[in-house]
Amino acid sequence: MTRYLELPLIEINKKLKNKEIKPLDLVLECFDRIDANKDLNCFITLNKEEAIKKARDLETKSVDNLLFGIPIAIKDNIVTKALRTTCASRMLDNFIPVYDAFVVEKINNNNMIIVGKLNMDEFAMGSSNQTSYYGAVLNPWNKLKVAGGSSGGAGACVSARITPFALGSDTGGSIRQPSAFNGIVGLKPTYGRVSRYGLVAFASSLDQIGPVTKNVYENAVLLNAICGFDNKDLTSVDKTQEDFTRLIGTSIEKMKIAIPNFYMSDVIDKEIRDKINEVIEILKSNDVTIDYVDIDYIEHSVPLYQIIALAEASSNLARFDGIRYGYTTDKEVSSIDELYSITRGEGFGDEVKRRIMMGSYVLSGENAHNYYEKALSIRKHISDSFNNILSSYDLIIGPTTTTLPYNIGEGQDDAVKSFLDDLLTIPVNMVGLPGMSLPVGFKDGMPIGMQLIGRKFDEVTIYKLAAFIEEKLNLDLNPIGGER
Amino acid sequence: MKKELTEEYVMHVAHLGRLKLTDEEIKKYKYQLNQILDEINKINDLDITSKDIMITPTINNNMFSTKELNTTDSKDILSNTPKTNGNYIEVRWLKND
Repeated sequence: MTRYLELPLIEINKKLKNKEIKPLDLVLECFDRIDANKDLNCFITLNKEEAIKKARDLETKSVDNLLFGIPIAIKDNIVTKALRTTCASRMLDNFIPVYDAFVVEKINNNNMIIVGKLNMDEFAMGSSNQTSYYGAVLNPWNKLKVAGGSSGGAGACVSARITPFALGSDTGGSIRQPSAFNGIVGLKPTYGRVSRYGLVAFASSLDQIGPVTKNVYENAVLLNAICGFDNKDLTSVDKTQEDFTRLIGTSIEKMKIAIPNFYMSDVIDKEIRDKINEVIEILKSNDVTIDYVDIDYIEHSVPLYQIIALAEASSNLARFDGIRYGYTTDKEVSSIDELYSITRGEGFGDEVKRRIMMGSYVLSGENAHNYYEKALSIRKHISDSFNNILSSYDLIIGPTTTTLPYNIGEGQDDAVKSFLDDLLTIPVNMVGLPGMSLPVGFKDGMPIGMQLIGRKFDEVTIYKLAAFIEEKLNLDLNPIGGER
Repeated sequence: MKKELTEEYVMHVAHLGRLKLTDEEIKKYKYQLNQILDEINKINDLDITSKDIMITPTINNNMFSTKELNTTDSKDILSNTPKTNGNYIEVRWLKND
């Protein structure tokens, strides 16, 4: 097997420009890697025939951008025209979209090559990829461990060097947590930075699509490609196109960074805190100011998420009725209501059903006031608190996760575990800030991620600091080493 | 006061979500939804004085879309429909008891 896909993007691009290699070489290598890593269960649907056709078509075109001819995999809740999109659910097992998501159009405009659709937790609900109708994704660093979720397929795929790029989505940590668990770089952009048009909605006020890559620079390059104003998404913000790589390599001296006290408290595994502290020492020795701060109500982010995200989910998932598209029961029914409820009872998995019911609960009767409205008030407080801190600091940092990747099957009976996994990432979605997970080390052979949180629409500062830390640490982040 | 979901209430929220549950599922979800409810009830201990709320982080104002409507071929729209009859969606015959 060739190993072009492990090279830095700039080198691949140079080889394509010099005609040393063709896009087809990259696509064929990618499918060899998919075959060699079948056991990881990263993909739900492959796009081999179309990918090869596109690679051949590109041979007559000039290499006009860095991403030209590069294979990419897409999380299976982002719709792709004529390519099955399941949301990892029985409900959409047979669903073939009739249009492309905004980000997919952007990917195609850059002449990237979509090789397949990635496994995920069902409807992005979960943090270990174990709620997928198509089975769990294995962690390339240790196949007994979870890959995280909900973008577990994206995390494992990029980590195992199957594709250099993937798109994930993040509602409470679904890009950052699997990025931490798999030793890769994942960014949740500012809410409104990337269009949600064509992203199957879970919680509309929290969802964002973002880039998943093996290093910081390439992450910024992919964000360059997928962002931009879209009038088909009324929460898309009209911003001037900028280059997110532009501050990479510039000095970090005099930067001011805040660390929430809660993010270094004993709810986080000591090994993870130790690793974050090592990075803090590096930053201090490079003339960066570090202060510990308090953010109001941040420790209550899990109940807040359970109320707001599940309320929105119960409404968003009402559209799956078994009549217009998707799964429908073949049981005999006596009313239209029964047709809906049997179809939905059979079509959705456990986690999704739990969340729909809990969302219905918090919105019903006086609960709408007691739970939902109160949660929105707390959300406002947290938002004000974050923005207050970020008016004095360039970034907020801390761990991405409270634990290392755990064993597959662990905590399956605990309905709260999947929420607690996202304790440190949820606040960022609540407030709409950009957040990244960056690999900063290992414990017992498993990767540890650090979270970098920026001001709204200030992803460039995240990339600047992340690139500095990445260069200083210079970690070997290839789980397959030189063996395959 | 600690609230607890009864089996009847689980059936009620399952109905709100249009989910048909088996008896076994009702028992299982009663336990699991109460686990989640215990977590959610923690916000009851918080004293929030301000009435300000945040529904969404977007900085855009609510507005009516001014864009022209996209038209999609009805064949495309119906391509995923389980049953069709010409340009119509066919809903199965419902047996009345």
